[in-house]
Amino acid sequence: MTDDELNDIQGLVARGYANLNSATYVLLRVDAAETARVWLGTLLDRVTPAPAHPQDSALNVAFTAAGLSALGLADDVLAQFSNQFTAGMTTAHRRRMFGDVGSSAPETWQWGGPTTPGPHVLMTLFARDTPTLNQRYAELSGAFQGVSELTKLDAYTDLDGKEHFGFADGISQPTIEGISSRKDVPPNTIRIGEFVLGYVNEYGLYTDRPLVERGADPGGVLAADVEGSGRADLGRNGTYLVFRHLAQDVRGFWRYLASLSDDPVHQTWLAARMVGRWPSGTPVTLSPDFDDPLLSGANDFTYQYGDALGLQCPVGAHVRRAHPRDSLDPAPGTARSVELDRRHRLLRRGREYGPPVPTDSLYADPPPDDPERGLFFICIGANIGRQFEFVQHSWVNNPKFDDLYDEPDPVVGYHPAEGANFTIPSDPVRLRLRNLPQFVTTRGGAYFFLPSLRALRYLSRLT
Amino acid sequence: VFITQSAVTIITTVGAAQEAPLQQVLEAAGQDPANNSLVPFGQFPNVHFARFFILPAATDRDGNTYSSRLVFLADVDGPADAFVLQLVGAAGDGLHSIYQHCAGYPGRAGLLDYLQRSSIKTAAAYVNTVGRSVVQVRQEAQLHDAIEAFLDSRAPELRSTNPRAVRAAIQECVEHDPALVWALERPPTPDVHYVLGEKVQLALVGAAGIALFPYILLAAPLYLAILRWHETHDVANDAMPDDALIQKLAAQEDHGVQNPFTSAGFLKSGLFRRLTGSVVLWGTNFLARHVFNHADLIGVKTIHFARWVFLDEQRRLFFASNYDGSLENYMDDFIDKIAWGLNIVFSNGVDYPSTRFLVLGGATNEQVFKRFNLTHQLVTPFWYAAYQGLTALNIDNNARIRAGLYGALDEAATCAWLRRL
Repeated sequence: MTDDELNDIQGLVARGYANLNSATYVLLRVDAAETARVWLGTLLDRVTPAPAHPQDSALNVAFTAAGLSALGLADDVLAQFSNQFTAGMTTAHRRRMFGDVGSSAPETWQWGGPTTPGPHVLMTLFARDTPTLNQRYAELSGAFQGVSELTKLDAYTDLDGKEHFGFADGISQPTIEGISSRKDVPPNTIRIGEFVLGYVNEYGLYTDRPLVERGADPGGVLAADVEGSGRADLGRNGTYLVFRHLAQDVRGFWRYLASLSDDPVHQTWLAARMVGRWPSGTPVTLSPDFDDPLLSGANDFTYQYGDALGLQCPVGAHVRRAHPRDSLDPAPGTARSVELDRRHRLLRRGREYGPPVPTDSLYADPPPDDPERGLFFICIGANIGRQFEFVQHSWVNNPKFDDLYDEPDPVVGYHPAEGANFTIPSDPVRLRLRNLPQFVTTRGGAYFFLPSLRALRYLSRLT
Repeated sequence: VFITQSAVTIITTVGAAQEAPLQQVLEAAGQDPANNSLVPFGQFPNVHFARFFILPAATDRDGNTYSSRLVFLADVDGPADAFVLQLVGAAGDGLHSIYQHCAGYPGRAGLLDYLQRSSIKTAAAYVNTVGRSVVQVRQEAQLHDAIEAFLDSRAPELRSTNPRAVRAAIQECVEHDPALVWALERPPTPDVHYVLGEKVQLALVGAAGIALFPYILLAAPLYLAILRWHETHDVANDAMPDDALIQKLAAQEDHGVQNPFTSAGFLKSGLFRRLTGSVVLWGTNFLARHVFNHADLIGVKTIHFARWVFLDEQRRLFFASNYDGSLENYMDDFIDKIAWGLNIVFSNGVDYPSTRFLVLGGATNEQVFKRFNLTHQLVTPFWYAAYQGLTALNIDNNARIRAGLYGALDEAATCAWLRRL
């Protein structure tokens, strides 16, 4: 990939800015299209591109469908974006898919639901420390024109690489062909078209993306459509971003485990079955009996040979269903199974929020002013339907995942009132956990388009 | 007794200006397909799936027009004609409220005759597992749940025993449950008459195939040449699906484990495609009956029942299936696992993504194929499923649990059997 193209891709696709410890997500609404476009134009130089390795701060910008419309993008162009993106996250069907009902219903959301003003713009801002973050945020917000702030969501990043339940997170990330600077080709290298529009995906095809007539791009800002339609490509080097604001009931999780066993060691053993990795990140399928620190970053493993039945890592475990590797039909244990898995990968870019629960009060009643905590789940992909929605619906939330019966994801899944179970296979009798409580609640969310830098310029020049 | 399933298909013409009122009737009844007042399918212990839908009026590329049709489909245990009798006997008045919107309907007294006359043969039908009745599916699910509940209650003490002892404890639990007395016997297996009949058919077709093989070989180059000419001259119209239709289809999906899929289209004009389509569906039907008759359609294990039906002198075709999981998952299964199979059948249809040699291309063009499906899918206003909570994999596993309940098993087989629980 040429430097020109790389420089056109927003940095969040290439990295999660792990070195920038502080982060905030700012949701904006467009009040006046013309001034908002001027504002967007002034922002262009500050947007971090993929090749940069920022040491101070980083900024990326994404838009909802309503946001693109509010900026003045024509309806016929908007209609070319994916249907998932334009229809949004809160349709009746998607509520069923994601379990966004009851206490997770969009009506109760902090943002993104029907009861709050819909977000138009998402600014993801990262900085090396909190004072720097505050300073960069002050600079940016001082310059807002034509837009107003809806919500500012601050991440909390002193969890030592773990999420709030206490498990290392974000270990299994696909390596993107063409963007990664790695010289070797790890087995989980995925074609760039899965994560960036305008390139060949895992099917050897170009994912649908919005194209505009040349006349609609008088400045010639956009790249030409690589497929040769003669039109200008608004999608190229851009992609979609899924944001889910997920609250975690950390005390509820550990108190549930305590209801099953008084022994903290056994509680962690049970929790590790549910997650599929130990707190350090060590895969349960490789080290079923104890948390082997030597394997904490291990990611080069499969399930079919040695653990086909889930006697080490249960079939229903979180990591096994979110990324089943070689374990699914039509030919478990073969390259064909892996090939299928590669078409459903997520590039995760989320961060935690809220302070951790002090370890000494894990089992105590929460104080009345207990702050909310959880995960700003963010993932990036060129095809929301085949990637995020498929993984969320057909794998994570599916009580019938693989050959299971009534077992949604034991940790993050929606656990309906009819009961959610979790089976830990073992000989001669399986252990079955019944009626799992709900540990994760949706508090907000939306689908965004993360444009290329050229597309950002194009949007800032719309007339 | 071993009973095979039948695919009931009844197609009638919708009366002039009756489409909207009929749609309303179907939608209202479809709110509760098991217990509605018109046709309460929950009262039919032999119906696996049933649906009503309207195939809208259409005009093909040659300018021929086709009227709007009401389609009724059911997958039932036992013969189709007996089911139509049973249906009219039990729900005649309700059916009358539906069919009074159809052209040529003779009135309540002539209902049975009308439905019999309107019954047509399917071109091809797929059954996940031939001969497994609704009763058996439900009983075996009950058995599974009872054993699981037993293990939940006794797991701590059983864990310290051995596989043989656990199996014996399960057997004892089943024997002492009066609701499970049927489980002491094995499920019905095909009788000699049936097995022999199937073998004779297989042999006859095999013999005919061998006899015709030299001619097939001789004709192949010519056939392929004509096929390639068609494939390179067919114009595929890659249309964007209508957003309102996408939302309507989504509204009916994922309420339970299973979903209905209904789609319809025209065959490409000319005799060549119609002939190819007929031969291919004959072959599909043959393979479904003799090869893919047990829980696995070439790697796809999520389809309960499916059928292909020609109508209007083979100028139109519809496909209807009952599958597990989401539409996205279903489409991905098609693309990833059996694209070639879909191509052979559906590439004879108008606007199907272009194929090469009947098997290549086509469905492998992921997004074009998904758009093709969305532009051909029909809303299913009335859909009944007898065991909505079970996937085909669950049903198969339940059957294997029952099959392994009695009889001699060695240590390894006992272990393997217990792992099904």
